Amino acid sequence: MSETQPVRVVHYINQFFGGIGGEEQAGTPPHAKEGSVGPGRLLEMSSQGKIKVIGTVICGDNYFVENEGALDEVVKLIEQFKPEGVLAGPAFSAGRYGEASASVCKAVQERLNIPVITGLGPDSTALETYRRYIPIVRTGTSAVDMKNSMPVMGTILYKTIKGEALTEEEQEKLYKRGLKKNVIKEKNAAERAIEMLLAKYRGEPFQTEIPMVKRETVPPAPPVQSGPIRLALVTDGGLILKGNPEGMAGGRSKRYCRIEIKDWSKLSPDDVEVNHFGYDTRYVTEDPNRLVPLDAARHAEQEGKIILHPYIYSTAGVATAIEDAARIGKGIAQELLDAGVQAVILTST
Amino acid sequence: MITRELERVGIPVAQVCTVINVALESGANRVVPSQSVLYPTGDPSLEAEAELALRQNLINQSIEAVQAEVEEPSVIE
Repeated sequence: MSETQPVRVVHYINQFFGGIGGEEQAGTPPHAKEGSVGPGRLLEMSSQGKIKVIGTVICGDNYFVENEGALDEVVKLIEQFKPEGVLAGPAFSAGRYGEASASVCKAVQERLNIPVITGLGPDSTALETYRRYIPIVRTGTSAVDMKNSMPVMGTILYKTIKGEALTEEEQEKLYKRGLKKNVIKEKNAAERAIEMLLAKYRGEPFQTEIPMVKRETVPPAPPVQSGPIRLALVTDGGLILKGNPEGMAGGRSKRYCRIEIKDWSKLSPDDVEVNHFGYDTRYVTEDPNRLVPLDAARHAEQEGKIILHPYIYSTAGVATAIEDAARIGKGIAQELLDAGVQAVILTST
Repeated sequence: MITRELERVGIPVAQVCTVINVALESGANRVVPSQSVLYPTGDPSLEAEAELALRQNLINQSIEAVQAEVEEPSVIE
């Protein structure tokens, strides 16, 4: 009987999964333990002897995001084990833990040049930032999904370390990275295109060489019932307070602002202006209701159709990085949820 | 992107915009078409009263949009 050697892996986890404690222990600095801890045991067991967790590095969530040197400390601790690969998390939809897991993977991949993997939920804030750089397994939103996601992460990491190809099913478990891989084909592009076209014409099966990168789609939110709807106005058209006291950028936005409207029956050029370098703002500066229809919304309010949220949320949506836009969106979403807003009209330029 | 994040947490969004294809592609589920990128809820060529009426119309369409049951990114006119 031939026995295959297991691959030697280091596991990165936070203080909670490390069994140290919850939020009260989130300041725990990075430290290493021999062997597997917590979910690392599941990783070993589910790999059926293919993976050996030689060490576990644990760091508190707050410590990681609050200390600039935390990432270096963690990578050094990992390096001491001389692993063949690193698995971080899975962090599911957790904010700080997701950021930590993904950035540890990215740094290990760059500095130690070994395979890495982490797992994040589809609504993780770290996803948009890191998906281009590292393989990330699609997990559920909470630790309930641990027993499903950990074996998948283990299998993919093992195969990557061994240089084995992933099955289509395994590739589907990873978030798309939007990268292209160079391969050499016998026939040139023109020949392949003609063959594909003829196959299509004859109704025969064919496979595209450039599948479109699919954006993560969000299922539609359920509709609100009638009767006065608590409604907020939002715009990406760069509405700002007159004189731009908050120093909002006209594009490449990193943040959004709130404009208080509770004493206004309409938007007036005396109170607000528009800062956006992506379009000619003359007409909306002249009458800002052309950008955010506050006057008409007040009418609808008087008719009893809506109750208007006392703030307009605004940013300048031009040349904004996708991850910044997602973060801005998440921030606004949270504020509106907390305020009990039921629906939004978003005007877009 | 903002629309996606709002819909993700269960807040329906009527997105008033002109470039409908981009909105649908980027995952806006309830799109209300408007006239121009330069003035999504206005029209400088109209008299003030008519322009306000146009805006009220867009608001009403938007209110219908957030009350509409949709299965996929849709244009609501």
